[in-house]
Amino acid sequence: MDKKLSNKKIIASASVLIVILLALFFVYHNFFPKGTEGEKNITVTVITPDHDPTEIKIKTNAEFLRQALDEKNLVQGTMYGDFLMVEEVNGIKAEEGWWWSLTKEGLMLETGVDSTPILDGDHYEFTLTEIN
Amino acid sequence: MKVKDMAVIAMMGAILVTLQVAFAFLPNVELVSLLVILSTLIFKRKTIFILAIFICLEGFIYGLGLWWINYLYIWYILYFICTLFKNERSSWFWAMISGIYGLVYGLLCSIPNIFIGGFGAAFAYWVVGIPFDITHGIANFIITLILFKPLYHILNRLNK
Repeated sequence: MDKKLSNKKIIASASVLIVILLALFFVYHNFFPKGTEGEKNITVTVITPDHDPTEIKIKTNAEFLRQALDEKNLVQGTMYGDFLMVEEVNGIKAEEGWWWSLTKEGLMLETGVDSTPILDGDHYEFTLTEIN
Repeated sequence: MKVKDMAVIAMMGAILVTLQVAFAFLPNVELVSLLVILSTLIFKRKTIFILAIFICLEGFIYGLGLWWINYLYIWYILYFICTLFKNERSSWFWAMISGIYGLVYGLLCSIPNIFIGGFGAAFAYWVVGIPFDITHGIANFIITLILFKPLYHILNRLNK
C-alpha cells in the first residue's frame, strides 16, 4: 500500500517536473529578448566619480550590447554560465564595494549586457556606483 | 531546548554554510537544497533555527544584498514543502522535489523585483535566468538522487 502510494507520488512529482521544464523552455524561447539585424550607431558613456564622463561611439552590426562592447574591448568581467558579470569598463575596474550600473538613457536596465538587444541610436551609460 | 539540540542546530548551520561556500565556484550547483530536505526529515522543527543560522552567516560572509532578501523566505519555502511530505523516504521522490525547486528557484527569487521595478522587471529578471534555473534543477535532481540515501543515514545517526 505504502509502496503504491510512494510510486504515485514519484509519478506525480515527475510529471510536475517535466511540465515545469517544458514551460521554462517555452517561456525562454518566446520571451527572451531578441536582437535585430543591420548596422547601428550606439553611444556608451562611462561615468565615474573621479573623472569627467567618457563618451564612446560604436558603429556595429551586433544584435546585443555585449557583442558591440566586445568589438571595442570595453568590458571585462567574470562569466556566470552564458552571462558576463561586468567588473571592468574602459579599463576601470570596480573595486570592492563598487559595481558598474548599466542604464539606457538614465533608466536602469532589466537585462545584462548579454541579453540587452540594441537599436540604432541607443545611448547606454555605465556608472561606477558604490554599494550601499 | 536541550544542549544536544543546540549543538545539532549550530553544527548543521555551520555545515550548510561550509558546503555553500565550497560549491560557490560552480554556478547553480549546490548541496544546500539536499541538506535542507534531509534536515527537515531528520531534525524536523530544528531546521527553522538551522536555516536562521545559515541565513545570518551567509549575510555576514557576502554582505546584505537583494539576494539576502530572497534567502529570508526561499529556504523556508523548501522547508515547508518538505514538511508536507515528511514521511516520504524515496530518493527518487526527493530528487524530483529538489529538481522542481531548482527549476522554480529563479521565479521565487524574482518576487522582490515586483516591488522594486514592477512585474515587467521581475519577469525580465526571471526569463534571462531560465538557463541557470534549468542547470540548477538538473544538478539538484542528480545530487539528491545520488546523495540522499548515504547522507540520510549519516545525519540520522546524529539525531539518535
